[in-house]
Amino acid sequence: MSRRPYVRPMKRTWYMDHPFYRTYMIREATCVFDALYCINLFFGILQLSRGEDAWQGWLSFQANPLMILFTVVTLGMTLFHAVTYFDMTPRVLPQQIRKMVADNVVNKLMYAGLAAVSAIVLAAAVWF
Amino acid sequence: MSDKMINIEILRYNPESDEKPSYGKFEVPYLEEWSMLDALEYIKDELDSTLAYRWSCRMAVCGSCGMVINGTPKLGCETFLRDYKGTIKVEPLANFPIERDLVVDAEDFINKLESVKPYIINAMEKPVEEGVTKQTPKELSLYKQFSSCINCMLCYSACPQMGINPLFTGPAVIALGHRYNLDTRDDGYDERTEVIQGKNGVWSCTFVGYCSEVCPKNVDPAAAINQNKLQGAQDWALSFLMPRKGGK
Repeated sequence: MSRRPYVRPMKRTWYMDHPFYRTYMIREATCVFDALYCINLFFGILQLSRGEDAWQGWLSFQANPLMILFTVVTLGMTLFHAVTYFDMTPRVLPQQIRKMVADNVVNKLMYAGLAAVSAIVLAAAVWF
Repeated sequence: MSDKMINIEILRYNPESDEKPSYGKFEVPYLEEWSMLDALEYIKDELDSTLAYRWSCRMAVCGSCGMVINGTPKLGCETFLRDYKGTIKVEPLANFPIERDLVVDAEDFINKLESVKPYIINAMEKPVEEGVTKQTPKELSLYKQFSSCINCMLCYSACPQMGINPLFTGPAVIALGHRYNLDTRDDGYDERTEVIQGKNGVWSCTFVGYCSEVCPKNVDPAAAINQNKLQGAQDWALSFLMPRKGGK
């Protein structure tokens, strides 16, 4: 009797095979939208430095229905990323800390941190 | 015998006669309390004696009967037929070479397991005169969860990174290394660093997290791996401040 172990090839579309993998791929794909949005923002700063006409051009480009759709989708993706990321955070903490602070407390602190940073950014945008 | 019937499709592979695996179909009468293991036993006894599968304890302790049931890595002994309808698809654990039918080749896993040195290092070198090594319940609670692993390899089957990079040390082995690193009696952290932080260690993981979902013992290997990423980053940063580890 001879051994002849069979190795099954991995499908390129492995992530389509299970809902858990699909959710994971959506989580990973959120970075694509965020990267594109960052490029858009960077382009905005560049246009601002080129004078008023260029800046107004960028602003009207943002009002394009497709750009609004893109912004809304990016916001949704970013929120999805935040929720999944905050769910994972407690598990990544060193075991010593994890034994001291309950997972849901860490999770809520992450949301509190996000709220605090958002409030500071918004306040800065209003006052300066 | 009960009049309830269920269809079971098993991915069969006979290395002596088959070029590649294919599904074999069986119609199995079953009782309310039957597990998948009972069904496989019925098939082997009554329908096809050539069926190969592993099992031992029947109570989710030995970790022998891992298989993929309807796409989910599970232990055959704690999967009940009454929870399924129609046809159940049974396959050997993914990301392992198939030896025959539901039996996979676990040699690579065993080698990885050995490489992480899953035992307490140095504790035995203490002279008897110094007394016993004490450990408080609080210290025990640090690693207890990670010590519940039964080496069933379900997490390896659940991990897509394992399929993409078969050299990846993998969830269970890293969790076990983490278990000993967290043990206050152990002094082997440095000896495990190469395996845990090396090229095929924790950094091959992308935190899919499915390993922890399928774990029958709630070990949460994904947490063990990702806690080690933080630890590795910390070690790396400290290596600049203390290149000689405090004058060793």
